[in-house]
Amino acid sequence: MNPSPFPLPLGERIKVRGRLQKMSTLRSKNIVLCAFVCLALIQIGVPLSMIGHRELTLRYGRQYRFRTAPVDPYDAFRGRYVALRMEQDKATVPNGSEFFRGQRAFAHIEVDEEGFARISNLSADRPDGEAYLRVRIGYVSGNNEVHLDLPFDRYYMSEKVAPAAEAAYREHSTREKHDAYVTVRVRRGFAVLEELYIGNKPIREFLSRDDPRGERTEN
Amino acid sequence: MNKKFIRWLYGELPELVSRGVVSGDVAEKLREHYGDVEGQSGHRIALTVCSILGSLLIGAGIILLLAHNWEDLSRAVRTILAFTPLIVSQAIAIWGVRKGKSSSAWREGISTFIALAAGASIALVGQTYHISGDMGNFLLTWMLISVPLVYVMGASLPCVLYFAGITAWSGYEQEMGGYALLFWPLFMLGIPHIWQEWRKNPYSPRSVALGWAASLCLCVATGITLEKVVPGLWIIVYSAMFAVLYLAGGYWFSEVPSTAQRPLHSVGAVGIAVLSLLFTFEFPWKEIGWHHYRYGARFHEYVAWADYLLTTALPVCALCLLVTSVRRGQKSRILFGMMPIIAIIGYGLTVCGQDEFPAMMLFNAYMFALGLGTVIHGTRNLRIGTVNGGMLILTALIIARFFDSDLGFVARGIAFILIGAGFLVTNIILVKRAKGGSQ
Repeated sequence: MNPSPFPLPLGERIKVRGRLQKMSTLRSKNIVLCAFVCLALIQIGVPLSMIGHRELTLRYGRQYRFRTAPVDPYDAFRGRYVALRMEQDKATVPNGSEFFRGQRAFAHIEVDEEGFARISNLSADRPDGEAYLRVRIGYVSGNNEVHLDLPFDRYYMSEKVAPAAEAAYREHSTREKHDAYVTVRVRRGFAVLEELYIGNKPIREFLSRDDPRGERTEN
Repeated sequence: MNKKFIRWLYGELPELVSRGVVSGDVAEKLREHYGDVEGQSGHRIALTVCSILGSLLIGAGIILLLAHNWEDLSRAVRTILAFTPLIVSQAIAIWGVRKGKSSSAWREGISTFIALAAGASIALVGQTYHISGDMGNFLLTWMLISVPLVYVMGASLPCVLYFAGITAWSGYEQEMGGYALLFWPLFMLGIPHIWQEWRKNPYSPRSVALGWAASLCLCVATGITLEKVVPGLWIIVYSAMFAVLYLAGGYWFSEVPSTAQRPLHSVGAVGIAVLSLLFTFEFPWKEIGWHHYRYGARFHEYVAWADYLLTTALPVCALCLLVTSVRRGQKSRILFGMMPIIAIIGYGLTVCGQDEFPAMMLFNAYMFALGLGTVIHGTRNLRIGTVNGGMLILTALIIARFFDSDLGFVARGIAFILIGAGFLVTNIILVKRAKGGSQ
């Protein structure tokens, strides 16, 4: 590029350089600001989308009841949640199908005479209708069965009611007394755990009314 | 040049001028050449560390306060509270960017807080809706929404957290039979930032922290991501990886003697020594090679190409770096740098001969040479740390063989006394030589 035949005086050149530097700083600040705002929207959007999906399922999904299974007494409560095990967490592999560990699959649901959900079939492809769950294959056992990782395996509770919740859940999940179950809302295969019931009462209500001293055990 | 050395030089200049070693003009020219050294760098580091710690503690405190009465709150209120730390920290960050705040203390602190708040918001939403415990998905989502902070805010601690997070994710993913191989493209997302910092100053606290984080994460994640359908390839992969780290560290980051400021070199050297010790035993060489190819649901053959790629590419890189180092006259690096060659020979001997003994003997000889060579190198260059490192390698080898052998307590006791005496005598000789040299 040819130098200008009319160069600016030194003082003016310094002023122009300073202005250009300010503009460059302002431009880079604006770029950083825009980039940060986009990032902030993504960071907020991710948990928001989790909430939106679940709220839609809780409002418009169909409710199913799943019986819980007897639990290891030392494993029922981990940290701040009750670890749940469903009575039926296995499925028979249909003839001609093959599944492997970690694979995503669809568990077909039907409701039995007592009103509880059970898994009637397993497929690798999405079935027709609405009565199915998206699951993951936990492990494949030798006798043509697969163990399923169901998308509802924990119920969060306060640590203050932990001992009572653990005791109640354990007591009502034994082979002799088995009246603990969960309600789950399912929409297009997506499941959201709604409530844990013990003796036909939501667990918090069960705990607050079950204290033998007659005092409320809930905060 | 490292600012520590520049400060040392500036400290020496007045005495040199007063003794007439250099003139005042020369001293001024040296100051002009090296420029200002920020005398407050120690304060800046302390400020940055305090800022990060403060952010962590405030974030943890807020979460604990919210957790106190969490059960009494409705789902809507819990959701709002889950987002509050994140939104507030983002608002503070936007305010700071608009005000032109550029201090590293502020950037590191606020970026760390945002990264932690993002993870906390996802975790709290998970708790509110009793979301199933898929730790792998949670970690991956958290890391992917946090890593852009590294580039947008120019902060390094989120990058360190990111490396740790994706390493943990790869462990969970491999355990669940997923695609832990994705660790490698995820790891590459942090490399441009490391490159930027190394170009600015390869010995700054940031660059050093990033170097340590990346090296240690590679050490863990490499083994996790290997599919291992051909048993034993990890021997070559890890040997070559440590050699590459060692040689690259020596090639590009050799201006400072401090071990802590040369993470690649340090991790590589320690890795080579530890691996060599492992390979002097029988168990790593058992049932390796194509004859023991693994089948089954747990092993994905189509992903094993990554194992073969690493087994080929890493030794080639190590060899290129070794040749380059030798051409530069850094012959002291040969012993450590040739580890992948020894590993390949050992692997070949075991697979072809179906016998572990030759490889074990080879590595016993190699480790002995490694220790002895390190001691000699340290003695020649009057580096007590290097001599002690070499003695440690020899001691580890001797102790390992003692546990293998049938020698009695007396013989072992005498040997340990001799080794300990050897340490002490060598150190005394070196210290005397160093003092004699300085006089």
